[in-house]
Amino acid sequence: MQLTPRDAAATLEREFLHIRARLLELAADLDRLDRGEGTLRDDARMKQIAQALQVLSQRGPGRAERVQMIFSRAYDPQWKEQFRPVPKPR
Amino acid sequence: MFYIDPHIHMISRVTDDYETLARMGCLAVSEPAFWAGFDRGSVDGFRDYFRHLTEVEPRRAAQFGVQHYTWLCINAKEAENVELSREVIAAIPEFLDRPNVLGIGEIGLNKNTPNEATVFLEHVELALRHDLPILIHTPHLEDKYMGTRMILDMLADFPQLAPDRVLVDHVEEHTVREVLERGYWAGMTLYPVTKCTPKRAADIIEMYGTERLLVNSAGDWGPSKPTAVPDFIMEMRRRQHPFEAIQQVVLDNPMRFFGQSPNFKLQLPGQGASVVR
Repeated sequence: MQLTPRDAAATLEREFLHIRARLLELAADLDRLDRGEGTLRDDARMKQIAQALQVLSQRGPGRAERVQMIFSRAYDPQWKEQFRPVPKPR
Repeated sequence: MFYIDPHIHMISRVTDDYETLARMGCLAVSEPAFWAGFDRGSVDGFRDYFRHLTEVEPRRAAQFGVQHYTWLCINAKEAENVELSREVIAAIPEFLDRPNVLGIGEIGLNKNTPNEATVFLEHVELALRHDLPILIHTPHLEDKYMGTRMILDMLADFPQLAPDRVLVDHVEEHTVREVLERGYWAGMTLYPVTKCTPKRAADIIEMYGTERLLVNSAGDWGPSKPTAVPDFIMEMRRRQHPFEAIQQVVLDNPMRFFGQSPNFKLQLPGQGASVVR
């Protein structure tokens, strides 16, 4: 069964305060990292966070999937070539 | 609304959780074999675990009118030990005639290693030998995408395995499409931090429809919420989706998938006769 898309204005009405709260929570998270002692400049996770934030500001569908891919190891279609099953004992 | 939680580890939950689930409308749970939080030392440790899944949990569930089903395997994390895994796979048939066993699961990958893949393949062969459905665990976080694709590649090497006999669990936005397009069932796990949330699961249902999609709590010993499926129901109701659509995801779909197992005989409330759709 395919579901009828919800009305965008009604969805915003219902979600606005939740979105606002989550954005504030995220902003405070980043502030907390900034206040911490030491530097995170070389931490690869900070680069992932920065990339994900860029995706959020882009238009169009599929943001959640694109953010997922930022935090994912790439698929290697040749993986079977390096894979050898452990032989079964005779 | 009546529902089934198709993936929950009740061995890790207190008896009060069964009562809460029953009060929320849960008719049945299905409990795949999983990692206990430590690596077990011997095949007899697994025999004891399988006895727990097939003897203790059904009794605990029955106190509250909840039907308990289970899936047997050695999980992907302990599958790194191939020798032990092979001993466990050889022992599983001792338990397959227990009345609450639905199939083989949750098998899959954890860190996408050759050893895990070896054991995964041998579990699939076991399921095929016994003509049983399969429940699959996909890896966590950054390993999920690669691991899910590897699992789908391996399943494709079994042309005799019908896709609708397989449930690929823990799908998220970046893995659900390929699972559904290849004809498998897909499960969404509702967790507080990792995996999916009730809202995102509802989004995925809106994008992909209600066919072959299930939601579960995967409640266990980690951060998880055994009443996550009712949370999903509430989210769908908030969005004013039709009752029939919600029921298809939380009740009809689990019944259809589990109904492929000869041991699945769900009794709906008020009906004495066994019902399988």
